[in-house]
Amino acid sequence: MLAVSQLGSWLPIALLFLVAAGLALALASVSALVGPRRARGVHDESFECGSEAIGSARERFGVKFYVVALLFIVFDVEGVFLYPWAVLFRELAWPGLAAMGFFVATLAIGLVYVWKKGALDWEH
Amino acid sequence: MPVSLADILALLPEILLSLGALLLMMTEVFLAGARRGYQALLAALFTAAAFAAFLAQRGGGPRVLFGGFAVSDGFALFAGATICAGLLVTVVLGAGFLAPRSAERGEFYALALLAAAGMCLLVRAEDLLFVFIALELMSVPTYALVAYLRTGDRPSEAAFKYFLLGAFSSALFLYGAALVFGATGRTSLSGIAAAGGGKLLLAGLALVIAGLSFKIAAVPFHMWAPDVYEGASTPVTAFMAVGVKAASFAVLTRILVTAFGAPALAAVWQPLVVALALLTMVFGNLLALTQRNVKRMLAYSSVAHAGYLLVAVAAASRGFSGPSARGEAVSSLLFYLAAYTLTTAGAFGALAALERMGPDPQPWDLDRFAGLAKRRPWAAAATAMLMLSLAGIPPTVGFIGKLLVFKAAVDAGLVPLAIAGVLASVVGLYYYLRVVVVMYMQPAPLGSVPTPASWPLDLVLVATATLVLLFGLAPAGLANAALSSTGLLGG
Amino acid sequence: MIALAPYLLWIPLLPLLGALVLGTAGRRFGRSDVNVVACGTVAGALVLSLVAFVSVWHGRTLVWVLPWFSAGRIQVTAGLTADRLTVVLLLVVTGISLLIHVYSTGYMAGDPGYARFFSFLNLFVGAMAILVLADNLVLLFIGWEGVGLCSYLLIGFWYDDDAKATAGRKAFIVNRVGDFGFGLAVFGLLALYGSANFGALLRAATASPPSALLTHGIFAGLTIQGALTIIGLFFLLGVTGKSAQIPLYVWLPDAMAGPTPVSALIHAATMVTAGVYLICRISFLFALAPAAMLAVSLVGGITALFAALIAFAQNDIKKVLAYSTISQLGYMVMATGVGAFWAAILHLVTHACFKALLFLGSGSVIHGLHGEQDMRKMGGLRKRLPQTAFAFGVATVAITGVLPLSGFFSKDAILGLTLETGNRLYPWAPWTLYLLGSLAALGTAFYMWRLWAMTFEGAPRTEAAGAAHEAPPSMAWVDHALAFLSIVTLGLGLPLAGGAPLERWLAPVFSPAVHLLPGLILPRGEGVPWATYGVALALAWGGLAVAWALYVGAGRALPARFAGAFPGLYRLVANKFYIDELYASLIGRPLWGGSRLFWRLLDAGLVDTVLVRGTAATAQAFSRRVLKPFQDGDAQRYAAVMALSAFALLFWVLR
Repeated sequence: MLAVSQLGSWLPIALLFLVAAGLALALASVSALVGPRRARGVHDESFECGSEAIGSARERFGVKFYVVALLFIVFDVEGVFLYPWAVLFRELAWPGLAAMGFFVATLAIGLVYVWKKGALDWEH
Repeated sequence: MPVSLADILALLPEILLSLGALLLMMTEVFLAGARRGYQALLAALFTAAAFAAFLAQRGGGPRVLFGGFAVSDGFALFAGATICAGLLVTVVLGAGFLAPRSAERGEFYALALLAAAGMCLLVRAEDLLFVFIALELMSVPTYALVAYLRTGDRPSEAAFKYFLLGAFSSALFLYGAALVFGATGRTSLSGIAAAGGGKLLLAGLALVIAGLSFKIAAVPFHMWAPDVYEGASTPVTAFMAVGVKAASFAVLTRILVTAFGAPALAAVWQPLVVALALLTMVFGNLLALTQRNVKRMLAYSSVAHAGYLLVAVAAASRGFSGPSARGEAVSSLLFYLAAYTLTTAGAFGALAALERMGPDPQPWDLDRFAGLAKRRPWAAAATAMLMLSLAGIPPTVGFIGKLLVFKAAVDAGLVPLAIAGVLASVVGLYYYLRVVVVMYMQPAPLGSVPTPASWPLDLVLVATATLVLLFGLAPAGLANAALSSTGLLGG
Repeated sequence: MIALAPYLLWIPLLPLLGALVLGTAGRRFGRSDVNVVACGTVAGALVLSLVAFVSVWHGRTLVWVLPWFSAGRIQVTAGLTADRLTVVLLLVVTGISLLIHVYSTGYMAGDPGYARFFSFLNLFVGAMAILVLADNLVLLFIGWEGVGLCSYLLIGFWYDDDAKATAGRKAFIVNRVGDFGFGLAVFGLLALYGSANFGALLRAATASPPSALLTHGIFAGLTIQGALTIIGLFFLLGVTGKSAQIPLYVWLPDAMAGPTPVSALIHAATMVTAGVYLICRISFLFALAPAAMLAVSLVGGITALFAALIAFAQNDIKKVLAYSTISQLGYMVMATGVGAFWAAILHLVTHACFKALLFLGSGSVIHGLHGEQDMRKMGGLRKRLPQTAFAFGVATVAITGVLPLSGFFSKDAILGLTLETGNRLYPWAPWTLYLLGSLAALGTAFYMWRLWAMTFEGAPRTEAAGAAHEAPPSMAWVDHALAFLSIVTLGLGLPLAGGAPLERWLAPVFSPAVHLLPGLILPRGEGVPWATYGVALALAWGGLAVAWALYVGAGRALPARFAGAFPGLYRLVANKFYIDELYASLIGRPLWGGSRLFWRLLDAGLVDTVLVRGTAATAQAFSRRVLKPFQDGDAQRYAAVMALSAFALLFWVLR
């Protein structure tokens, strides 16, 4: 168990933890207690308010959405690396440029790969 | 942060592996014809180059890279070379296994090379942040590899489980690392050792061990292993059993010995590791005993071997043994990893060689080995040699590995643990030798379909079996290499 | 005088190389090529053993140390050594092996696995030579495991037959139990003395008194004597496995599924005596632990009688011989237990000759009857197979001791020495052991002459027995050579003034043990008391007379009437006292069940039902609505186990 002397500095984190857990619990309980419970009919459907579920959830369906979203996030996040480099552009000088060049080249290879693979081709 | 060219050059093996991966991806989009045999050759060349780079870097003293994020020491070089050897076997296995199934793609090799690059970075990590990044670089391509050959539900189910639980274990590790950072204010391993800390540090230590125990498949963090090993296509299973385990053991040892090496801390984790080792050896072997499915048997066997390796980790505890004894313990770990890599990769090769194409309800049943001695005497002899090595019977490298590990344990005062290890491996004899018996003493079942012979698989079998025998008869070279490779962990 | 002898290495290496050549390229060889390689390498080993023998005769102790590998402080050496005990064993092993190789060229002719058979047989000779030559227990253990592996491979040699493959498996599993004991004993010695080398152990054993109290290590709180008693009992467990003693003898009768030359070489003459050799090799350690020695002698004595009883009711000719082997091994083990080490070795040597001959003779019979092993379908073979009958007769006389051939002297040396040099700490032990041994001797005479009578006397009971044909010359020749040996080895045990020749030859080897046993065992050098010879002779003739009366003479109807009158008792004996069934239900099934149970508990059941669902049950109503469970219940359970385990680790370090 944590030593008392250490406890002080970790109190905020402990509080955060408690608040997070409490909030999650409270919200879940409230919805469970207050919400009407009719465990029949449409409520048992996977998508209560969407299209009707047909067949097993294991069935294959269009993976295109995910691919595009995934690729967007990947390149988006990698792009963020350019900002700190730009801020320190002068200090890092040539080695920095070389490193970033390598980085961008790698990204470019990735882009070429997904492009040629047809991952960006929506109609395909 | 001063980054010198020498630092970058020290990462030459990882750079080679990554370049190889990129190149292979490009061949897949620009040169994708019907014939893809050259891809395996390309991957093998890059792997061999990385292996050679590791060997070429030996000799120099330990060097700190990137201002303390990583190191280049004998331990990392030996472990890295072991990983590359495992990768090489995987690549050849992949070529032999995938080509007849028309499933050979550049991505397979690219993913394996990338994961191996992560493993090689992992073994030289000297900072918890670097450890985590390398751990993910190792894991993410591996998740994808598990789902590589999608025949039926099994691979995707295995990949899903592995990913889910792997993410969980990464989180455990990360939480542990965060607690360690909170307790010491450092993330570098040597910095943590210098700072020390109280209960918070111990909590971090426990979670770090828990996270890595998943990767090495130690009981009770092993439950994913049989399912995932069975579900993944056989070359991938070999790669996981060999590479992931070797890299994770290396980093676990480095963290424990470097960051938590102080006697007071070692007194906490040594019994923990001893307990894990005991559980892993006993249950790994017992659970393997009843398996008729050889792939699951090998999965549990790889769990059991994690137990023997944990014995070496426990013996390397800084608080309980003198410097030379600790050096021997660390070197016994390295030797065992090398021995295990060769043997296990070869054993999965044997499995791959017997797998039929197309749907098959029981592809890895023990009966598949029946009568192999008559049909393919060389393959049977090689498999028998590999099984003997897994069981730890002389004159194979597996025997020498167990000898060194148990000797290190006895020297570290862990006599009961060594005895338990010997008893556990006696249990292991049964299920390994059962394979030999079935090969030599049971006729092939009637109406059995012969499996297509594939020369890369035969090459893997014969090469690993020969090396297993060679290093068993003349182990001095490898043992001395391991002994001089304790790097920063030896002193 | 210690002399370096590099050629010792070639004694195991020659047969091993032969095995390698035959195992890899043998299928392309013709039969005569296989014969040359197999017999040639073993003959080479025999010649080298003779060279070693002559050298030891001239007062040298031969050593050759191979640095296997050294890394840092770890030095693993494979040391070979040959002293007076070793060369005796070497001559037995290589000599009998050569004879049986020659015999097998006839017996196995036409078998599709011809090269494979000789490859295994050569491998066995090499492993046995390592076992005998090893100068430390680790190397000895390698040989020990090696011969076990060969035995296993050869029992299941005709693997097409499922029962035979099962017999191989049984031998393997039962021997693992023994190896548990052996392994623990070696570890115990390492913990106690820090070495497994015989020379170092001898120095350590003589350096400190047995009553010294140990203060640290796993034996803390015990005296050295106490520690050695525990170690000795574990060694005994190993011996009961390899040398087929109670309680682990059950594999040997089933091992008869192997080809008959294998039964003769491995399961009668050489491998099964490895346990006896082991005890003799570390006699100085047993000498420090009288209680362990008593246990050894009792196990041996009881086994000798028990196995003889079972042999009464067996009808398979090889099964009778198998139980006979167990019984005779019991004699040897009993001899080591009372400190009559030389008598144990003497019986080992003579038994190797006459029991090998008995097996080979039975092999000739089986060969002549086209595979028939049931004695009830034989009879009258003395006229059909005169050569075989003559050799078999010599061996039967030797083992039963009706005439003073080799077996008479060796068995009686043991019986006499149980009385003479018994364990003085336990006054009841000498008489008990003598009684067990003498009853077993009576039993031996009975079941062996019963075998003789059923096989060779009377009239043929089946057509096949009437048409039996004599064995080819290579087999008959070996039978005669062994018959000759069964007679001349009586010279080793002649009760001369100053001790039997073998006793005097081995005296230097066992002198440390004798000196470490104050007041316990004192061979007086004047051999065996004459009175016991008379008793032994009377017992042998008694057994012969009963067997003759019941199976040849007027009482021929009696055995069947006896079986009819006491069906329960007869069934009990004929079914080997149901020991196999007992073991299966006591050990086999629970072990298997245990493994399944662990699987259920650890990977399928307990955690799932008790821990996860149990704790989850309270929160289930809540979580069912709030937290949609994963589709895959398995992964969820695994994650739960991981989380629980991580918590366990946390508790561990923070407690």
